This record gives sequence, structure tokens and C-alpha cells, in this order.
Amino acid sequence: MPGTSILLPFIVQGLAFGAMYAVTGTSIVVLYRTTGVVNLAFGAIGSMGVHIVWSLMGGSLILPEPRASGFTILLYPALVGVCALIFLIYGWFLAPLLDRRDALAKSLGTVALALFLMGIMKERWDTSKPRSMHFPNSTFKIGGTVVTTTQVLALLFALAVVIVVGIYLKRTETGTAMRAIANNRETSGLLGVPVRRVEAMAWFGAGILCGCVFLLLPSLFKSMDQATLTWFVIPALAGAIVGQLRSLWITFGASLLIGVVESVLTPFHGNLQFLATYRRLTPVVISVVAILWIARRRTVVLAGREMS
Amino acid sequence: MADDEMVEGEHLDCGLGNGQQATGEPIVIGNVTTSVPGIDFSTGPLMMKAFFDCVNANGGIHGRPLEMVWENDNLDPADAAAAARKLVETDQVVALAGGFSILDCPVNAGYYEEQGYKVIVSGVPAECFSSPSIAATNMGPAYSALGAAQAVIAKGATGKIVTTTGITPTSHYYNSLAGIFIQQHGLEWEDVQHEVPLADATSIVLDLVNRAGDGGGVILNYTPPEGLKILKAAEEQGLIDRVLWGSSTPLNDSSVAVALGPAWEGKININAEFSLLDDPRDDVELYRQVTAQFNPDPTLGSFQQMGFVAGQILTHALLGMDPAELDDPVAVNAAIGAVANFESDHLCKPWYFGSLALGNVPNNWDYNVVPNGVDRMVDDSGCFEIAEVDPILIAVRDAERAGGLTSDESNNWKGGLGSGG
Repeated sequence: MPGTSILLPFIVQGLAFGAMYAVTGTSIVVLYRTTGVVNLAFGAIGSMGVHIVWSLMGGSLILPEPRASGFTILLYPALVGVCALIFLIYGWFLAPLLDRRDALAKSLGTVALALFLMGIMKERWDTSKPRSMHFPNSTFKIGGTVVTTTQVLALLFALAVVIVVGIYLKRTETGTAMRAIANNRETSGLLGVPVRRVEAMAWFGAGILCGCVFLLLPSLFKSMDQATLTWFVIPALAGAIVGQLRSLWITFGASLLIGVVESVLTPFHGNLQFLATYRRLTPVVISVVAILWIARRRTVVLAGREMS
Repeated sequence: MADDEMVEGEHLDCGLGNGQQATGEPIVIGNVTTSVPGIDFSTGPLMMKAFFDCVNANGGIHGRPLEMVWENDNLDPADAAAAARKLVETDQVVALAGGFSILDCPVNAGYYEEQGYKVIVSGVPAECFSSPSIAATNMGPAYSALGAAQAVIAKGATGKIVTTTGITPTSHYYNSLAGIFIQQHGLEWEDVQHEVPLADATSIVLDLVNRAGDGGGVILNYTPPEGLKILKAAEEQGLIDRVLWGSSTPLNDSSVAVALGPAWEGKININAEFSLLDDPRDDVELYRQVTAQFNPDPTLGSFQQMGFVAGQILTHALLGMDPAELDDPVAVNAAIGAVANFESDHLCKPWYFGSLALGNVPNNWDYNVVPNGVDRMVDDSGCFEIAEVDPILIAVRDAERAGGLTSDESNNWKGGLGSGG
């Protein structure tokens, strides 16, 4: 069993990744509650935004990590804009085509989008060479452990997102409309809630969160690897599942827990090496345990009779 | 269009080097390559294709153009088997060359032997070096990691050396020869494997350095995108000077040198199976020219050199044949199998096919290179001999000493590892 001094840097790194899971999970929860779509294209859209901005920064195979300077610093907010735009286009034009289908079909629509974007990325930016997107970063030490400003920023940003989104949903007119649609879409429409517009706003907001996550994620990954960025949404989804696609704070806590556990298992070796080997299963294990726990007292109806 | 192509390639010494565009029925060459996220070797065969384009702009093979077709094995044994059969039976390629695959050799070596093909590959798993029907232009990750281990130990690593690679169906082999060498020198060895693409390089590098301990060594055996993640994380965490760093060939790539920057100047020992990318000699200059003119994304790297050298060897074999036999796979593969003493400035010693019973490792002398902190790798050793720690390389060296395959001396000897180049 590794000592505390060895585990501390892994905890720091785990918190940073957990924070990114949390923001992604928050985006997934809000969008699901408003539109009924579990957006599995979150990572693919973010990855596409990163690749576009990387090229605009002057990135190439002989300049794998371009630096923004002068006006090109505006490309950082442009990344958020690109992601929000792709979300909005999908949410406004394509998602309504699946409005009357069940949740599975709606989510598969986003998988199709993810595969489409992956195809473009593979064709346009070949995967055999290294690429990374520079994000301003510095380091300092806490108790001998190196901490980066990106890690701190990730954690603070996640905390801010959960607080702000929570307040937004409770205190604003649009937030109230989103909650109303989440409870009953048809009735909300009959009562005059502009369903299509509110859903589009949910897509747009989720896109902004996506862009913000992908400003930080390449720096945490040390790469813009297409597959890693695209399927980042899968472990992030685990936190949202633990929160039953409902609670932002449980999603936040579960995401941090998943990030930390996944990271601190890395240095286990000897008889406990298997923990390190299978650490990437952490999101699956935690979400399955959570589902079993949540379902332990659920009432099942069989042949019209309630069985507990 | 044809006139433009003639002008474009007329000064390059590819094949016949006569500036005449090749015409007529193409001579089709096939290969099986791995190209999946985290393991994309496609730059190798694409460079061979660029060399073919140059040959075609310079007279082709006795006037006929070369054409390359490649199949992706998708890291799936069924796809690998189907790919080889499609190339041989459906596409009816006359030769197989330039393939760069995790699975082609283990899955198809027996099939190639049955079909009488002499296959030139960029070898990855053990089976690329243990079949009489396959010869690689490179020495593969296992011998290359062994070369990196030789360099790290020569530079003074103590205590423990940790090797690491990505998990694939054949990854148990990649660091095994380095492990033998490390233990023979009285050091502790541990091999750590991770799923690729690496998702959390910071955690991984913290763990690798902790396992090696201060003064120990860490040897990476990854493709450029994956290896670079670890090195950038090590820099961020302030771990560069805690251990001695080594790497197998893939990180000998100018894009890696640019990305590493000044923090890594002289800090990582990268085994280079080919000459320096800025070597002034003719063949390496030709490689740079062909890259600039025929490869749309011009970066220089070892993977591309492997494809380039495969193209040179194949062209040499085909130009030595009777033009009437160029469509006969039996004659073509006999010519490939007979290649010996093929001199190239990319290699420390002349290349040969060999067809040796235990397998072929014709490229078995290497360089150690280090990043210059700006934009390229620089020579740190001259050519040095890869240690004989396994029966295959022992048998290869015995065959070489018997004569007729290669020269006795390497072409860039500067005193070997630890001599300071």
C-alpha cells in the first residue's frame, strides 16, 4: 500500500480529472432533464473544436504545439464558440427530428454525430503524429507535491459550474421553464412554455460548458488524442448516473470520487498490481454499485401486483 | 500533368533517375499495416509510396510504374488474415513490402511461407524476426528497447530500470530483451504496461519514476503521440532529472524534438535504428528530398525512414530482374530473397534478406540520439552493436560472420556507447 506522500500527487491529479468529469456530467444532466437526450457526442464535439482551433493557431505536423499570441489569444474563446455552435445546430435542426422517439433512439442520434465527427477528424488530422494545444500553465508545490494552475482551475471551475447552474435552474425564468419541461414536456407546452426555444438554449448552454471543458482537457491529457477526447464522455457519464441524471451535487461528488479513485490506484503494485491494471474500470464499477444501491428498495410491478 | 511530374522528380536519384514518367501496367506491391487510435503506423508505408512516386517520375521499373495497395488490420486477427489473403489472392500483388503491423507477422507468417512470398516489413512483434520468409528494415521494439537499455546503463543508471509500453496482443515481447540485458548487468527490472491511448499521463509518469527510484532508469516503448504525453507530464511534474530516460526508436522524430523543447535537451536517450534525420550523406538527403516533393505532410522520422528503405530495397531487387519476369511472383520473390550487401546510408551496415532458419534481423547496429532542445535529434554515439541476448540474434551474427550477407565493419563507428560519440 503506497504511503500518503506517494498518493498525494495522484489525489491532486484525480481531483482535476474528477472536476472535468463533473462539468461534463453537469452538462449531461441539464441537457437530459430538458430534452431527454443523453448526449454521447459531448467529447467528439469538444475534440472537433480543439482540432479546428489548433489548426487556426498555426498547428501543423512540424509545429505540434502552436502558441497563441496577440489576437490569436481570441482563439481560446473561439473554441467555446465553436462547440456551442455545433451543439446549437444539432439541438435546433437534428434533435427535434427524434423528439417523439424514446430516450435510447435520441441518444443513438448523438452517437451517430460522434462517429461522423470522428470520421472527419481521422481524415483531416491523422493520428500518427503528436499534437497538443497549449494552455497557459504554471506550477507550485503543496507539501512537496507539484500542483499545476490548470488542475486548480479545473476544480474551481467545476465548483462554480455546479453552483451557478443550480441557481440558474431555480431562480431564472428560463431555468424554471427547463425544470417544467423536465417534469412534463407536453403540459409545459400547453401552458405556453416555448419548448423548442428552451431546448435550444439548453443545447447552447451545454455547448458552452463543453467548450470550457475542452479548453482545459488537452492540457490535462498532454495531448489532443482524438479517441481519448471523444470517449472522455463515457467515464464522465458515470458520475451523472450515480446522480440518477437528476442531482447536480451528487454528480459533482461522484465525479470527484471517480477521478480520485482512478488516479490513486495507479501506484499499487506487487500483490495489488491488479488494482492499477484495471483502474480504468473505476467509473463502471462505481456506477454499477450505485445502480444496485439505488435499486435495492425499488418496487417492482408483476402481473398488476406490487412486489417489494 | 505528365510534364509537370517529369520536372518535379527529374533531379532525384530514385530508381533509374532518368526523369522519365513511367507508363503502362503498374507493378502492384501490397502490405498490411496497423492504423487504429493510439497505434497508427501508416506513416511508414505512406513514405514507401512517396518513394514509389519518385521512382515512377524517374523511369519506374524498366519503364513501368510501381503501385502500392495497403490493408488496415484494425488490430484484429481476422482482419489481418483476410488482408493478406485479399492482397495475394484477389489483388494478386507480386510482392509484399513496407507493411507495418502489430498482427501481420504473427497471423500471416505461415501463409506467406506457404505462398512463397519473401516479405519486407517494418517489424513490430517477435514473429517478424523469427520467420525465414520475413525480413525487416528495422529491428523492432524489442531490440530497439534493448539498445535504449544499453544506452541508459552506459550513462550510469543504478538500482532499478522500469520499462513501459502499451498493451497489445504482442506487447509482452517488446521489453523482454531489455529486461534480460538489465538483469544481466545486476540491476532490477520491472515492465509496466498501460492501455493506449494513455488517458492520464501525469499519474503514469509519477508512478514510473516512483518505481524506478532516484538514479534509476525509465525506458519508454511507445509511438510518438503516446510517448510525448509521458515526457510532457514528466517535465510538468519536475521529474526529468530524477531518473535516466530512454526510448525505443519511434521518438526519433523531428516533431517530437520540437514538442519537447529546451527542457529535454540531451535528457533522453533514444535508440535510432536509422541514420540521423539530418545526416548529410546521399541516401538520407534523397529521403529528405522525396519527403519534400512527394509526401504531402513533410515531417521526418524513423517510421518514415523504414518505409523509405523498404522502397529502396524493393526497387533495387526489381531493377536487377529480367523485365519479362516482373509479373511473376515466384521470380520477384526469389529476387527479393536474394538481396544481400544492400548498402544504404540510412543503415549502419549493409542489409540482406537472409532467409535464416531462426529468423532474420539484418538491421542489428544502431545509434543513440538525444534531442537538441530545439528542433531535432543529434547523434550521441555513432553506430553501436546491439547486444546478443537471445538465440535469434546469436544465430544471425554467426551467419553474418560466415560471410556473404553484410560487411564486417559498421559505416559510422565512433567508439560505441559511452564514448561520447
